[in-house]
Amino acid sequence: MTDCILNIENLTIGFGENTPVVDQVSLEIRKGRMAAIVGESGSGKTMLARSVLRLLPDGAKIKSGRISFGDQDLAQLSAKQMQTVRGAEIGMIFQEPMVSLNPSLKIGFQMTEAVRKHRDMSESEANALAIEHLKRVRIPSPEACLNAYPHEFSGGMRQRIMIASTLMLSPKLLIADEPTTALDCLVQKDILELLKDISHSDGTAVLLISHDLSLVAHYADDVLVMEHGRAVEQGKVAEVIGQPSHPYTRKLLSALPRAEEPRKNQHQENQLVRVRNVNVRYPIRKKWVFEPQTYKPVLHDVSFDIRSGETLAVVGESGSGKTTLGRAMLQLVPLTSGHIDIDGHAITATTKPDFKAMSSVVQLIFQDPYSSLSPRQTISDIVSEPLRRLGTQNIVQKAETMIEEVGLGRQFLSRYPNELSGGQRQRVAIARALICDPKLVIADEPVSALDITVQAQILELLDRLRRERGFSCLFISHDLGVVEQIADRVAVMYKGRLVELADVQNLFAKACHPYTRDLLSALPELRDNQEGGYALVPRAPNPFALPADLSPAGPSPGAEVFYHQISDDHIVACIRNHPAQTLN
Amino acid sequence: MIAAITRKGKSPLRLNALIGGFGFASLILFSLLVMVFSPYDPIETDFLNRFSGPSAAHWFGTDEYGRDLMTRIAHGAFVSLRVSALAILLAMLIGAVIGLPSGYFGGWLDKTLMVIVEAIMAFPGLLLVLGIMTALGPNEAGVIIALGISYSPPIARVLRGTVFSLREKEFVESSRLIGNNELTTILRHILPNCISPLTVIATSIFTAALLSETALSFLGLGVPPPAPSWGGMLADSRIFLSLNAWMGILPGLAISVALLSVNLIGDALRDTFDPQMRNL
Repeated sequence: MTDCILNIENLTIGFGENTPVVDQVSLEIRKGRMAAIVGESGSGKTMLARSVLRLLPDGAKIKSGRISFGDQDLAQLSAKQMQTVRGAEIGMIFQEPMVSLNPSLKIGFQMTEAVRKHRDMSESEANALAIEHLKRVRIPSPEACLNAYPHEFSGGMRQRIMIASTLMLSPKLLIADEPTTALDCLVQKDILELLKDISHSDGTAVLLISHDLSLVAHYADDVLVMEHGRAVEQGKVAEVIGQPSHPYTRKLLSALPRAEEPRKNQHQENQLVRVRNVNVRYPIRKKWVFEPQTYKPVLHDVSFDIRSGETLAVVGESGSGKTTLGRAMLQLVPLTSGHIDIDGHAITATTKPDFKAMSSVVQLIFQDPYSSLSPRQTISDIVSEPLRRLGTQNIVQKAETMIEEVGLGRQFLSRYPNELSGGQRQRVAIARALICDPKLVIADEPVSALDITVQAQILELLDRLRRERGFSCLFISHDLGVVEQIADRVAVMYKGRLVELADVQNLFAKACHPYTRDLLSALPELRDNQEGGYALVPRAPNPFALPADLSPAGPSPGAEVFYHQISDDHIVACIRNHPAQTLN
Repeated sequence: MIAAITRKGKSPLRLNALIGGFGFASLILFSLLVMVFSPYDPIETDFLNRFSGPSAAHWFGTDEYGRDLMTRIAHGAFVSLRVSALAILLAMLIGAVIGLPSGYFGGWLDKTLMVIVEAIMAFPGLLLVLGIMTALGPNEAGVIIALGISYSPPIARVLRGTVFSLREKEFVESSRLIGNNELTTILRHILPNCISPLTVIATSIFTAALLSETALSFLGLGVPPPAPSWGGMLADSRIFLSLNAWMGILPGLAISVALLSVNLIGDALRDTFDPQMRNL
């Protein structure tokens, strides 16, 4: 027997007589190796992976080619025969851990369902096996986990549980469709390292589907690059990334965000926005009418400034409060205490939201261009609506200029959002935000829903518009690569607290807070190596020592947090060490 | 509208839509032609020709006063369709006035409005209509108002649910951020996106309203005689079925054709606007 687990030969998948969505693709996965399929949306990568399990959507058919798995051709098996292969021999991990577990069933039942179906196993044996696998994926107290429900776990934990339950049948092949796209970068690292460990120790072959090249470069052994259903390049990761031969691969690689030349601080030093000691808390829903109201704190004592014309990036994992911070500045969330001053307009805990007055001061660009544009308005209506409300003259002319400024032609004005691609929609959203000439633009993950080449274009557009129009930008993101490319300064949020704030060079070179350093080391950067190829370069900031009597502030309450100034433009949240106090 | 339905649908669905559309269109066409070209008046009596069966002079025969049945059915179609259509429009208006703010603002306003809606729904449908009719008197406006009120709760609830999910959409938030007030946001950004569910529920309620209108006329509470109405004609025919069965069969047939056509159109509309229902 060779150690080839899955061999796809000249596979073609199509809907009816249309152009095939997967066209003559071949792929071989060997035992204990991780193969990745990379491509942008619409490239057919998910279709290819699903064809292995024959989980194709209605209407899609395998037209030709073989999918050899062991001595079977999966393309020819009957639906009944496929049932013994699915789960038992090929496991699948989905993108969205929040919805792939049934919320109304206990985890133990869901995990053991498959073994009880495929193997003749008693309940206690099955439970013992489940506990063993939960231990492998490092779930704390696995016995208790069996009796818990999915909602008691975070996204990362749920993805581990999914992996554990897939592994219980010791499949020969594991298909992971964007397994970490919905997760934070620190969790992403954990999950991928776990998959890597498993494939090394058990010899499980892993088929990873991803849009993230640096992630693939770091973890996968082999890679297949797909464009419009065709395999444009494949081979060992180091070779493909190191010496990309196909123009599409080069295009993908060059679209990766990267740090630019050190920026010149051409912006003025006057502060546009002052945020001082802002606290925000959300009321927790009461179970009883007479129960005292409790609150969930979301932001603790956040203070910073945004200078005129600069881009300040806010990074942090989900739940760190970065989105709430943006929403508080837009008056969408009331402050509990503290105050925000945006170009002379004050927002405090008692201010009544006045969106009308603020609309030409601060505007928002949303993450998801699919839900931020009203589907029943034309682009012209969407872009010019803010003007119409202000009663400006020459509305049509201004809308035309604006839409051209964001790189779309006038002919787009009469179209509807559903006729536009994601990138074009995001350009429309940018046009709508900028048409009133706001002083501050809050961009909440504006590129994370976009393909990598589109992402690069949108970032470039935002940066060009900022230079031309001179607005300041609060750029909320979880992607450090993007931040390094676009930001002047970076604020790191951790559990509602601002833990470090520095200009972008200092942050990436001399990060001081351990959380910042974790973030930076979570995923190495792909950097070009002058010879036309790319190589992984770890982002390893030199540990920067704090004075002996200070230690970095964690989430622990009670301690008095203050900001230690490391250099001109670099502060870090610290607590003072008391001899009696132990560090955590 | 038919084109939109047929383009997207699968074949049985397209057939349904076609049958429904054809049935409804031919009913309207038939009524129009008869109203224009019939030599008879729907109310004028002719005692010499009572209870005549279908003949060259009276294609559908005549009733107990010698009135031409074809002319009466044609005029009755317009009475029934007008009353139900106006009732649905009124129900949509009431439903929107309750459902939109309820879904958009939520909180105590939502709770209060929903209690009112549930109170209306707690009455059995026809009983509520009869109650309102008693207060308003048996005339066309009374029927429309009674039906409009009693069919508004499902519309209010569907709208409330739709608005609830639309409210969280980012384009609604964006409308607030560019300084639009609540009314503009609701009318410009929320209402247009409610059109599809609104159309679907309105068509399905239209059949119910048509049936209720017929039932009211049958009970003698609808449009008062001698004005022609399908329900009234059915009621009149009961005593004379042995003399002229056509008096009962033909209005009954008209009611069935109208209901079936509207139902088929409604199903097709629902499947077009709500693709998730299509496979059920």
